[in-house]
Amino acid sequence: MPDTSRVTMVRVNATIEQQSRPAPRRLDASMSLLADIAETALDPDYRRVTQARRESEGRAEAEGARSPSRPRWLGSVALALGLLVVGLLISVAAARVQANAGVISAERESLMERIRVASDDADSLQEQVSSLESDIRALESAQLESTSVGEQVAGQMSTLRSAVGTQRVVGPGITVLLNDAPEDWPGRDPDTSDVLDIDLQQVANALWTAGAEAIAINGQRLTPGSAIRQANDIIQVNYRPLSSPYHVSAVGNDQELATKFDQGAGGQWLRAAKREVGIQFEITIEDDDLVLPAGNATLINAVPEEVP
Amino acid sequence: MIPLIGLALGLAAGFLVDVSVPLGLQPYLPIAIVAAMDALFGGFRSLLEGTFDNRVFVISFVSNVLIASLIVWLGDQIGVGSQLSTAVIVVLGIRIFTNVASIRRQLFHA
Repeated sequence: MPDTSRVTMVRVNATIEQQSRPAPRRLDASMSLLADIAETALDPDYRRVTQARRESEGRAEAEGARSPSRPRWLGSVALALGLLVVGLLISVAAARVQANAGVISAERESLMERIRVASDDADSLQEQVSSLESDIRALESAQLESTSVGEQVAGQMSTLRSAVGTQRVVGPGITVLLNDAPEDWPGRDPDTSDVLDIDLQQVANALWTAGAEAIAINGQRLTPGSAIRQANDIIQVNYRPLSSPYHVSAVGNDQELATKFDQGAGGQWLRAAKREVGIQFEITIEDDDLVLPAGNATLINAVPEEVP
Repeated sequence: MIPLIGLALGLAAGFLVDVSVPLGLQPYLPIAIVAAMDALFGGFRSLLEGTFDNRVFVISFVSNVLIASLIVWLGDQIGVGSQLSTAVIVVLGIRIFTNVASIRRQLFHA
């Protein structure tokens, strides 16, 4: 068959071509840079100098003369000096890194100290604000209680303040406790918090819906100006950082609150969160009356509009 | 023996004496060390192969350190210092690994 013979011909040609090629192309020819680096890893000079020395020694021996080599001690001293410099380089760099580590940790230490001092300052200022506010309140009530109209006004103001959240309130209520997932929860990252700001937001909203009259989270009273937000994994309420576990206390009709919260959006949300990320929660009806601290809601620019 | 004493002396001197490196030279210390290690392992390998030569070692050491630092310094001047130091470390790293592998083969026949 003509077809088969042609194929054979082509094959024979290919074989001849391969054999006649001067040098086979290396497989890694396109990576010659890497191959070169690996091949010349040892300075080629070592080999060249040794070869030259052997040749000259051989020639000297053949001529019967003593080989006129450089004095051996000179090379030794040069080598010792070179190694001295190597040791010096390494130890100086190590010493420098250690010194820098000290400086860096000292800097961090001083920053932490400054944060501590600043947050202590903020706490003491907050206390001052609270004590001044209670002074104002005492003065106000002293002024108003002198007349019967004033007494009425004082009662109204107190009610309004309690509603807004700038006065301590006492009453029956429930506490919703939220905590991070247990240690052995699959896929838990111990460095991040499992309770998120959205969980606290949902709980607070659900408590309002269930009829809560006043809410505080870890002692931070929710006022019209309160924000529940997260900054770098730390939940802030009223711009104060909180840490787990979170106690969300709500004053209201405790039985009704507990039932409505559990069966409403809050309970649903928490059960879903427990299923998904393993956060732990507990709804308890407080036996004693809850005391919720006063929050801060100062109006600076807003003034009440006169009703015509 | 004398060279090893030199190495120990250098190490001790660096830790004991507070050698202050000029601030401008400090970023090049790590690169210089990698270059020095390359020369060191190259020298050790040639020692095992019986081709060691003091002069070649000292020259290769000095030139390695100087050229590596120079390349990185030049890179810093034109804004590609970190890339060039990566390049230097890659090349020297390959050489070090190749030399150490050869040393290992000669020492342990494995």
